[in-house]
Amino acid sequence: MLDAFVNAFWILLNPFRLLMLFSGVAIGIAVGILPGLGGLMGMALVLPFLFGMDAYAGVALLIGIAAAVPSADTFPSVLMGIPGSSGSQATIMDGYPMARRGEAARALGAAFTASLIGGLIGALALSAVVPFARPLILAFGSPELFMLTLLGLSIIGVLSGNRPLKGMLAAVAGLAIGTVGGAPVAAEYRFAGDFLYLYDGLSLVIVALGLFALPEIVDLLARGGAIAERARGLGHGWMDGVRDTLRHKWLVIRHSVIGVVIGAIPGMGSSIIDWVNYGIVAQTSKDRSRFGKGDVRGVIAPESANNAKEGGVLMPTLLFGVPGSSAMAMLLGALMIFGVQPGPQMLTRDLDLVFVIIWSLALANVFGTFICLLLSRPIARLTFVPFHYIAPVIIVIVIVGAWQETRHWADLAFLLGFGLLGWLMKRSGMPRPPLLIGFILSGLAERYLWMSYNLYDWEWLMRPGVLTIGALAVALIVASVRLKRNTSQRAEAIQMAESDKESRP
Amino acid sequence: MRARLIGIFTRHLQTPFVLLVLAGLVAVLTISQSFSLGARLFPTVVAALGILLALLELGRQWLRRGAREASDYTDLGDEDDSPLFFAKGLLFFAWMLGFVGLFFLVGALPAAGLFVLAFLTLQFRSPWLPSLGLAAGIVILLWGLGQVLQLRWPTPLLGF
Repeated sequence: MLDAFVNAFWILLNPFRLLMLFSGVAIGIAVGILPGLGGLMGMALVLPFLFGMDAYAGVALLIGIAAAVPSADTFPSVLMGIPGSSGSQATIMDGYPMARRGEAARALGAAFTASLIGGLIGALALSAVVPFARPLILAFGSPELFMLTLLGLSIIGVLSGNRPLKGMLAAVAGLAIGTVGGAPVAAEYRFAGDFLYLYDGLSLVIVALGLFALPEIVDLLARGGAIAERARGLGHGWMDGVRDTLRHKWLVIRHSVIGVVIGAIPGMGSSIIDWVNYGIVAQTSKDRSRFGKGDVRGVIAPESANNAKEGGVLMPTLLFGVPGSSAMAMLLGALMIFGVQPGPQMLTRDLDLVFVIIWSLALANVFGTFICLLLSRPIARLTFVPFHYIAPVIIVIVIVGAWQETRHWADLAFLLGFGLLGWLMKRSGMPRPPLLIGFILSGLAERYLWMSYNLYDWEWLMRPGVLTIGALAVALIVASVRLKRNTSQRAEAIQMAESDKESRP
Repeated sequence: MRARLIGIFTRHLQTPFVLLVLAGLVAVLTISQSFSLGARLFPTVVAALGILLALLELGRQWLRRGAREASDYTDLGDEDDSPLFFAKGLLFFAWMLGFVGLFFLVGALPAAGLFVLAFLTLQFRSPWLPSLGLAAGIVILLWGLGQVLQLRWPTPLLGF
């Protein structure tokens, strides 16, 4: 185990892989600072260019994006009071008031330092879990793995939107779309008719780009205008911010651990983690009078948790093959592109790759923090570029990327079709992440179901492991729904109290 | 009238959407019955579960008819449900369709340049100089990417 850990570090030190990690961080920062875009879109954008790359370089690129977004999304939250992504909503509560009184640099300094420490704690927690989880996971049979896949999918479905039924339905629709093409356990083509293009099934690249890239671009364009009005300067006090974080080291550690634990529950989402941590720090602090008016602790707690959660979401993803978030579903899809079978086998056959992912996460947090600190002024300026200058470039890259998939006209037809579908889903309140995750997990779930049925007939449903996971699923869903509902209510109350304060003369 | 129709359509989009999913799942269930057991098992389980969920969702919508539904994204503003917003969204999909058409007609690199230029000057009335600069920039970027990653482009129908 230790050999693999050290070996993975040397694997990642290859100049091309480091360059890919660095590129991922740069892309993550770019999509993180533009409100409305996010890590999911950034990962979807690079998927078409992964073909031909070695798996280590590819995962370094993707992890670089995923790890940099939670740091970069702090810029718009602090400077403009607009969340750069869903995971930086709570940062606004105290970050923006700090910026308004000329302490933007201090808020950003504190946020980036907290993000760095949080990210490293997340990576450390993930690497600590692998040796302990390995024997347990390797004892699982196909029925338990099928149940775990269903568990992850149903939690994500229930928690993704505002309506659990819609989320579950979207997840099942994703599983159904994933059945198009060759059946994994029989020599038969399904739902493809005579259309040869569909014999290989629908491509993850096309589905992901269509569902997540196009609807965001269209919505941002339809809103029109510049992303935000020009805010005040960054001011001074970077080192004060760094010192603030170091002074509150126990706060950083506590909220990083909370971020890891909640992040490990599939589907909890970064906005929940963000608000839970803000709620905890605001309620457990002795002096609460400064919260909402620019208390640096209100920046440190959610930011450390937000970066630490990446270590948490990677736990179910790497150990069970159950994606902890939509971005992790994209990572699983990319692993399949590289011919790596996600799930417990990774801990035996591809242990090096698992540790490369962990090292990438740690290094990406370091790179991301230093880039954000050193290039904060030009990066902050990017936030004010009108979106209509950025949109055509992204549209061209999306369409060109989709064309590279199989170079068939149907790639672009399905891209636009899924784009329209994603946009209509957004408009009709149907969450899109469960559909994508269902689509990605479809092949895996089908194999597990077939193996379970073949080996045990329907008696596999009565295996103790299956029943335990089933009971766990119900308990987790109930607890998660409660936590999500309480967090949303608390967040709404905090935001309403804040807007009341602002509207008062 | 047209705006009202779009308004009604977006407000009640969720029910036709679930009906569409339901129809798709019924088709999956029906078609999959002609497959061998190995190919049939999973689609059957998935479609049956999906049909049950779709019916439950339709029942929920019927019981809560008239109530406004929240979207899956917290960043959707109120204006995002307006008919004008919907029409604008469709217009941008039409721009993308236009780019895809141009992509096959004149080839990837000229299409990218023309699209960026037309999009900025016609749709957003951007000044010519930055628009031309961005169009040239994207052509150079694509050419560079093509060289480095050995990307292949479609043969243009107009035969340039």
